[in-house]
Amino acid sequence: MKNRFLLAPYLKKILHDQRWVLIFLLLGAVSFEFFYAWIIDATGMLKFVETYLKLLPPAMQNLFNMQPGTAMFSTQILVFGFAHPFIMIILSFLPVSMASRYLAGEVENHTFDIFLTKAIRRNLIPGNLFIFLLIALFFQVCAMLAGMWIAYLYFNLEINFSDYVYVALTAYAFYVSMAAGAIAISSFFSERGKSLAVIIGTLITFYFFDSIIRLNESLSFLRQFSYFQLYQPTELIRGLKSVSHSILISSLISVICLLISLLNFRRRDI
Amino acid sequence: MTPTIIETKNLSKYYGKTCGIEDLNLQIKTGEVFGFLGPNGAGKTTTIRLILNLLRPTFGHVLVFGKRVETHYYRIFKNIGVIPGELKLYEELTGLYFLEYMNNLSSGAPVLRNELLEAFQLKPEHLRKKIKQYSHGMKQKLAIIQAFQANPDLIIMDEPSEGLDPLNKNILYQYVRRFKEKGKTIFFSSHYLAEVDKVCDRVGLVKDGRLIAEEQIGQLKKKMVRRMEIKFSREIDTTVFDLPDVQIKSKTGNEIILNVSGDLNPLIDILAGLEIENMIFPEPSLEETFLTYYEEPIFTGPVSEKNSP
Repeated sequence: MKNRFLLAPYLKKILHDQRWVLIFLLLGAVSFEFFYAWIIDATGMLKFVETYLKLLPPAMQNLFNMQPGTAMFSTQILVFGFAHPFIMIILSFLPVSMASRYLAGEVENHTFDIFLTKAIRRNLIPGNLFIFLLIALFFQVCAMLAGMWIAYLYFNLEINFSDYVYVALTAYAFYVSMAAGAIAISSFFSERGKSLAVIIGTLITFYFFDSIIRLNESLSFLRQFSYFQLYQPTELIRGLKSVSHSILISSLISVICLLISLLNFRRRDI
Repeated sequence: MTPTIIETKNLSKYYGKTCGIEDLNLQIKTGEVFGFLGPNGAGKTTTIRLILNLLRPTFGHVLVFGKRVETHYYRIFKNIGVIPGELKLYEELTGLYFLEYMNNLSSGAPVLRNELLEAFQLKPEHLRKKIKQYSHGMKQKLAIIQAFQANPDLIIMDEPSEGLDPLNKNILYQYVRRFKEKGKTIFFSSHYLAEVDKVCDRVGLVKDGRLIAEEQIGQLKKKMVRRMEIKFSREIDTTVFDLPDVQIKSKTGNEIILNVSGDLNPLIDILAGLEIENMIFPEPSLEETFLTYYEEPIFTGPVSEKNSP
């Protein structure tokens, strides 16, 4: 291959495999954000959620990172759309599924037995998988932002849209780090199912860890060690977290995980 | 051109305590068709995977085109065609996309593709179908075409005739011979002795992860002990078979079973003067071949019957 970093036929094949999934996820991200904003803003759901959240104990309010009754509540509830479980599933779907399919899955299916006997450097496989996810996540985050932007224009939302752009940038860095982590984990496995289980298990463990320290004030000192603290849209919009710090740490995690996967995949038995 | 195309030096691979291949020293020269013969689980596929850098050796190393495969694989593989043993293709791709994809990852133009497609009778309507709709034989043909299409200097095949009908097996053998005539090198792994006999110049016998013999195919056949069953019209005096390469295994009435090795001509001269009612002289099985070099039987049961492709 002429290019030392890009493996164009491989990227083209992955796009060919994932084209419908990608279209579905992009449409899902746009429409979810639009309809989320519509439900919150136009249907009077905002008042209902605010009243409901006020009834919750402070620990539960901490879990959602929202301050019902304040002027910023509408902004907080709208930005929660960027961290809603539905959008989290949409954004983490490709990193989790593709890392397992295109590394461990190909080892398990023996498709690498032909593919890796072609004139390509081995580390281009996890490298280009990462590049694909980098591009796919960029479009997904853009779709998420586009959904909110359409709603912003259509419903005349009283928000500072540039804040949402920064949150989206943080989301991008966070999900890219998740992709790099998933690729690193999958590079150690020879079975797709095991790889998938370990990646999902790890993410669920991290999520529960984060939920526990948010529910329990006495454990707040552990926040700096929680992976999901890197992407807290409501805290970012309230200025409680630094966008640049989150992006920097996420990028660092991405680089380390990518290096692990490149080194491991180059040396491992197929 | 480098005279030695593939060289393994003290090559060993262990999976934990289990031995995949041990202390393998092979040299395969340019223009040679090397048969790698052994029963299932002998270490043939492990050796091929080590040569192709899919596995890392526990000890020793592999040189292909004079370069160490662990470090130079991406340069070496520009000029190699591979038919893997455990064949799995990308099921969601069409046959044509697969051939294009494989060719785009190598360096050469697919100069032989159309000719191969015609020879193996893979028509455009077949190539437009997804691979998951292919039969096992069609997948095997596709794998053969992708290996040969760029006219590589070295082809490594792991049991390439699996799933092919006799007609397509013969086409494969023709291409192997043609490539040999062009001075290309072929590493041909098989557990079918007759297949190796048809196409190979030299053969390596592997068992339990060890290379137990390396011979020119002609010499291997000379050394092989073969069984000959003869039924005569009347009882004969067995002393006529008192020849250096002939051993009487049993005699029942008019029937005699001989173990024969080496040159057959003296025995045929003797048989020509006798009245024979029936004679059975089967192709030697892989087990019989191994017994020539190795005292213990390699396997029993139905596998030993699979001695002809």
